[in-house]
Amino acid sequence: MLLLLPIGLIPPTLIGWLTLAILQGKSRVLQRSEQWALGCVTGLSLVMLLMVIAHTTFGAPINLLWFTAVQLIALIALGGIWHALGLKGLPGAPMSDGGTLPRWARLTLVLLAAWMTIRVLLAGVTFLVLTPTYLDDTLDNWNLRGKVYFVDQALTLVMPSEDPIASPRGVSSYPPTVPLVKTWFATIAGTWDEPLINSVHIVWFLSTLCLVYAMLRRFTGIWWAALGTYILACMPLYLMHGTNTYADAFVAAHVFPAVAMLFCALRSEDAHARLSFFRLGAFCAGLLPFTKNEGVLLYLPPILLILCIGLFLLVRAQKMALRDAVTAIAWYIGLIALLALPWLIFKWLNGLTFGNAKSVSGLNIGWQNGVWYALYVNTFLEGNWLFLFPLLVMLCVWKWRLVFRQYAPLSVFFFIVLLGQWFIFLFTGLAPEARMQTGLARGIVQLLPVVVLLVTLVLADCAQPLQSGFNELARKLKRNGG
Amino acid sequence: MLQQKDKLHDSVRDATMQFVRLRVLIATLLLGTAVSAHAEELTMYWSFKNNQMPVQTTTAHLTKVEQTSEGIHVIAQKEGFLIWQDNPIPRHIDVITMKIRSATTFQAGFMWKPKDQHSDSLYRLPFVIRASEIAQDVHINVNYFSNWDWQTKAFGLLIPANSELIIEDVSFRRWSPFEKLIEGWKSFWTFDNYRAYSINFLWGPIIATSGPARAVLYNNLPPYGWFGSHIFYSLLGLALLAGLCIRLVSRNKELALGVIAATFVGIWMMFDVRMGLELMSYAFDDIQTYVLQEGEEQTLRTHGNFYAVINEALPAIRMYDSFTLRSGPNSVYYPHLRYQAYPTKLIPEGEDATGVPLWAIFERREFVVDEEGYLLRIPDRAHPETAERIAGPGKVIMQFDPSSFLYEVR
Repeated sequence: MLLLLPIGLIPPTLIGWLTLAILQGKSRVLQRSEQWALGCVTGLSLVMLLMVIAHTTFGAPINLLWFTAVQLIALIALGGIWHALGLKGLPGAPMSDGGTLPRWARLTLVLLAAWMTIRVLLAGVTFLVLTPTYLDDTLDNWNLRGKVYFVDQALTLVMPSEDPIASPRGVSSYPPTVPLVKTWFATIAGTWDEPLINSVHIVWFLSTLCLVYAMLRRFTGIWWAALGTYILACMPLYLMHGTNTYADAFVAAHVFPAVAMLFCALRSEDAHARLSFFRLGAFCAGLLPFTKNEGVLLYLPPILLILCIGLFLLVRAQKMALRDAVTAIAWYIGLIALLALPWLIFKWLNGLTFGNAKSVSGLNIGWQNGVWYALYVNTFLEGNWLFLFPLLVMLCVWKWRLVFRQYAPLSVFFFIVLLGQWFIFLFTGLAPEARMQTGLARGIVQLLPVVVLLVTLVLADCAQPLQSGFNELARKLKRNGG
Repeated sequence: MLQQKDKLHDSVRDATMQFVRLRVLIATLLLGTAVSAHAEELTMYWSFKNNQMPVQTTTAHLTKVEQTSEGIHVIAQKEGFLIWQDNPIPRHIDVITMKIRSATTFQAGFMWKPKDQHSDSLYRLPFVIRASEIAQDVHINVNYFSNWDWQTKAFGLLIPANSELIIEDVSFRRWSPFEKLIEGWKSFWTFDNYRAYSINFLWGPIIATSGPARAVLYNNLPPYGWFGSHIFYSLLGLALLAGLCIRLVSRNKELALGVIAATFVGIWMMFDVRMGLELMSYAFDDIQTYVLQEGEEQTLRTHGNFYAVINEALPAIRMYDSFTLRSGPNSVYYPHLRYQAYPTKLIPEGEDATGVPLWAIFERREFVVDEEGYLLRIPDRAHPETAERIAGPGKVIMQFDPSSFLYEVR
């Protein structure tokens, strides 16, 4: 049954790949592997969105026939456009010069890669394939809804054994993307096979690693790209999420490209490449509302803010034509409206909420005791993030110009979202999520690839002084030893 | 360029060898000293066996307290206290260990009143006594609590209502600073298990300073210990200080940065290895207890043999359109069965179950089937007249244990 995983990924990945190719046009900015990885992530979500539209608009049942039809129509349409635009045969964007690695660096990379691979394989296979569903949210939300959609062949909003009026405002208020992906694989298999439908979670984890590596290779050599990827892969809580059946690694897989493409666009010196990145960023941003409710409430607003400020600064510095800036904004508005509106309209028509199984309207604002300590413990003392955040703090102090100027889109995005999350925990009735540490760290999981990208880029820029430091220490130790 | 690279490579290699040799020497010294060190010190020991009462004992609200050959036998119909007064603990101690036996599991409390406290209120530390036919050691890691006072005037137990236990003995122990160091090192490498909260946070290394504390390290939430990351931050702080001194004294900016960066990389790798091994231990535990086992022998994480039971029950449940569930409070049966059994509809407790063809009873002792085949609920087993017919007539089609079965209504 597990063989159906790669088989089931092929059509959505092709759809995603074609969409990305069309958006780039003749200005290919994505590397080859990057486009496949991003195609897989966005393609899966896009297919599920199309399926929701087909089901809610045309009454199409959620079954193999309609899943196939939707994807076939999408493939034909996108393939036709891709062919018509003459995009066939265009090479992927080149990576930056990898540089030659000294022997000790190659050996270190091999050891780190082996250490990382052992963990990911062991955890992924054991938790996703060999053991049954264990976690609460999987039983009550992701897998339950997927199974209900599979059995009912419909986007059922009332979950089994729940009150028909209250139930839709619970877990059904979450976008159905993750459950529908599971439904898709169950539909191919003809049965609800847990190892198969759970194994899809590793796809989002591995795709994100690939995207982070490619993004780092765009700006740095192999060493830093590999190191950054290793840091992300081995972040303990991120690894837990990537190899278990929760949806936060899935959200991270969407947040990262939405922010990273915007970052690349604002940095790009070439006008055509810049617009390509904007189109890609707009597409990824448009999919965010279809991931989890945070997509609309927490991630889209800062992305749009950074977009507007970034465009304003570029135009003011005459690095970008006003016409191009307007085009970029138009792409963002257009794609977000095209992708987000169907789901948002569906939510509105069915009275679904915008909180995480709790409505955000009607929350009282007031200081919540004990939350500061929970934030401190979770971020700096527990085993969740190793020393990533102390490192980030040190870099913010030592290299603040790099962090808040050169890499402003990344740092500003992260801090806006982080402060937004902290505000919610510190001042609203959602404080127990922080005190009990139930929802606290998961918000960070969704941002982690962005943080790792930021930290690694800054460290890469500090390579020279760091290398000098290590050399000097080695010389001193040798002199003392000798 | 190539010669410079080789020189750098040689210097790094030589420096690394120096570094390793020094650390091996220190580690050997430490290990040698540890092996030759004396074991933990038993400061004091009270045995209550053979009708002994080595210390003045006061009780309040307990139904029965008697000295027996097995120890102090306590029965409590109401919540009560057993206090040892005129505390003779001669010196600071780390752990109090009580050997206790009970037929039921319940939560008791360890209580004490600091020497200088004038009010009558006592500090209370809850702990669980598990049902067992043999006496078990209950360790109270008093050293962890800043308000513990070894010169306390009185300390003892809070015993809840409807409980019964036998206290065989109490021992008071402490460890030397060096032994605590060793235990701290061992506890650094003591891993948590995969629990429901592991997807929300990971405690990371927790430092305990005694074997008994380490044995129950993650049994309490939060764990009774100190975050291991404090040690890392201390090392990093020292490195920052050293870097600052180097910068100010020798004005060698590169060396200062090298010291800080090398320390950071070192502690990062250590933390990474520690957490990586913990996650791998989760997987190994799952493989050992679930994947490589079969049938009733399969257990998984915090759920015991739950999956073995429901895997046996599900084929039968799926033959019906609906079923109703009665399970223990806070049990995991509801979410699992609701999901796994679908499309067979689960009628939860509290909803009208009239006409439901199947009853799934899990860990509910008050449900029994009488001789006529009716499903009865007996709220008070001591008073059978309280029994009421819930469903039937029917029959038990699957029995898992005395309080868990599937009941089919004819």
